[in-house]
This record gives sequence, C-alpha cells and structure tokens, in this order.
Amino acid sequence: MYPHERSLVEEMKDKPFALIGVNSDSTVEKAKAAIAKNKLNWRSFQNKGNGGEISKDWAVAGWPTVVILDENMKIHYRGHDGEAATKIAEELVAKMEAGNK
Amino acid sequence: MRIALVLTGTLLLGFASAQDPVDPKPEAQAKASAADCAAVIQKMQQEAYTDWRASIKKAREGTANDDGKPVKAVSMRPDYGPVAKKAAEFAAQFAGTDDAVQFLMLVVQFSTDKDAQKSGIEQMLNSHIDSPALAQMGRMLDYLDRMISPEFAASTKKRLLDSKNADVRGWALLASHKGSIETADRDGAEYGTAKKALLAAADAVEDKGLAKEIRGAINLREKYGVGCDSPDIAGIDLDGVEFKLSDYKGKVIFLDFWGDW
Repeated sequence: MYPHERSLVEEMKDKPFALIGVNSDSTVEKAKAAIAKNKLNWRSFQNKGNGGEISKDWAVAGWPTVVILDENMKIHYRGHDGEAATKIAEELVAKMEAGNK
Repeated sequence: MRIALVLTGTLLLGFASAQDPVDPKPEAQAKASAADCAAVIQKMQQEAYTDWRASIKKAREGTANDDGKPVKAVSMRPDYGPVAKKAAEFAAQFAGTDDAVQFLMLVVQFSTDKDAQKSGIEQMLNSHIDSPALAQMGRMLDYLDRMISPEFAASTKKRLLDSKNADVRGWALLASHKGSIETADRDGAEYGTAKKALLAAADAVEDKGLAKEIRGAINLREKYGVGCDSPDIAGIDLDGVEFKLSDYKGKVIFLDFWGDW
C-alpha cells in the first residue's frame, strides 16, 4: 500500500488533491519511524491507537480503510480497496479540472 | 457466573427433593439437569482448550531445545469434536423441550461436519422457532453462507422471521437487510424498505444491544457512508500541530486510516 500511496501523492501534487492520514499506531514514535523508513509524504491526524476517537466516530473496523471525499466533502467511497478508491479520486479530480477549463 | 447458577440450581433441586422425596417436581428436575449437562459441556470445552494450549507449549519447548529436530506441527484450534458429539447427545436427550436449543447451538458451533451443523439448525427452526434462546443464532447469521451455503443462509433468515420472539426476528431482519443498508441507493425503494423494517425492529426488540446495533448500522450509513456530507475532523498531526479536515475543502480528499503493523 505504501508505495502506491506515495506515488499517488507525487503524481497529484499539482492537482486539487490531498491525501490525509488518520494514524492509528499506538505511539507517535512508531508512526514517525514508519514514515522515515518508507519515505511517507502525507500529513496525518493522531488517532492514538486503533481504539482512538476518530476511528471510533467513523466506526472503522478494519485497516486500512479509505474514504474519498469530493471538493465539497461529500463521501464518494468508503472501503478497503485502495485501487478502487484511487480510481474514484482520479475521476473526481479530472471532473474538477474539466469544470475549471 | 454460569457455574454459580448451576450450583444454585443443584442446591434448589436438593432442597426440593428433600422436602418431597416421593414426588419430585418433574419440571424442576428437568431444568436442573439441563443446567448440569451444560456444565458438563463447559468443562469439556475448557479441557479441550487447556489440552490444546499444553500441546502448543510442549511444541514450543521442543523448538527451544532445538537439536536439529523438525518443529512439531500444532493444530490450529482445540479439538472440540468430542464437545460437539456430547452436545448432540444432550440435544437428543432434551428433544421436544426448548432446553435442547442450547445444545443444538453448541453442535452448530463446534461441529466440523456440515451435515451435523445443517441438521442442528433445521431442528431449531422446525421445533423451537419461538424460543427466545434462538436469538443466540443472531451472530451466526452473518457467516452462515460461508459455513453452509448462501441458499441455506437465506432460507434460514427467512424462516426466523416467522418467530413469535421479537429478538429472534430482529436478528433475522438485521442480517437480511444489512447489505441494503450498507450499499443500496439511499434515495431508492430498497434502502427505504430496509430502513423502515429495521427501525420498527429496533423499537420492538427487548435486547438493548441489538437495538443499538440496528440503529448504529443505519447511523453509520447516513453519517459516514457514501453520499453523506462528511463530518469534519479536528485533531493534531504527528508533530502536535492542530488542523482540521476542512482545511483541505476544495480539494479531492483521500482519507486514509492507516497504521504500521
């Protein structure tokens, strides 16, 4: 998953796109070690463990879970399939770019 | 807790028979002995688990003193075969009374024989459809399609809807409509029908946990599901800097619940 997300962020860096993480590692140190090791390039909320408040609110029961929001923060995808999620995100970005022209 | 109940049951029976040795109440006796049988099963279950743990420990010690011998294979789970067999015996013993349900449930849970599991469920549906104990089948319904077959799972759910017990019907409705709540078009008839049936069930069931689970499934879809306006998230990033999800409004957001494990 990491290489895919990393290159997605890279590819979309000049587009109206943001990859935001909700990190559920038990400590910040653990998360930062993973970021350093895998050269991760996105900003994350601290969820403080997989029983944290954010994932509890969202009733996330399996990791990783991906949610895709459009520019108005409407939910277009929620699930565990990174490829399907990416496709939907790319379509939404393309639609925005077409509308701006 | 269950052990305490069993002991109480035995004591009560003891008193009853002491007072009236000639004509012990048959009902009280049947009840106490069903509890006794349940205790027997529970003990067997614990023993099977203890044996299994012991065999893992033994195998691990064998590996620790490794002198070139291969690692012994350890089974993936305890051998509950004898438990299932004993439960089937008890189920036959209590056939015709609702006491049989708890033993049939154990047969379905512990047997590795599909036909035995199927027959256990069929007996519960045929003879105990109105028993409150059938609500224990609730959590089983989600994996019944993998355990037996999708057709069998569907017909079981359908038949449970005929129960006179509201909790049993509630579990069956939740299992039947969960898919529609999770994925059907929220403006469509399928979603509307499922939601209406489930909300009515949530009001009707006695089990508070079940009511919460039913309402939770709908809430999840309507607040955090596809088609919803996402609630904002406010928190701190890994450097402790406060930020909000809505700071990124105006862009397509790929929200990734991740962890390194």
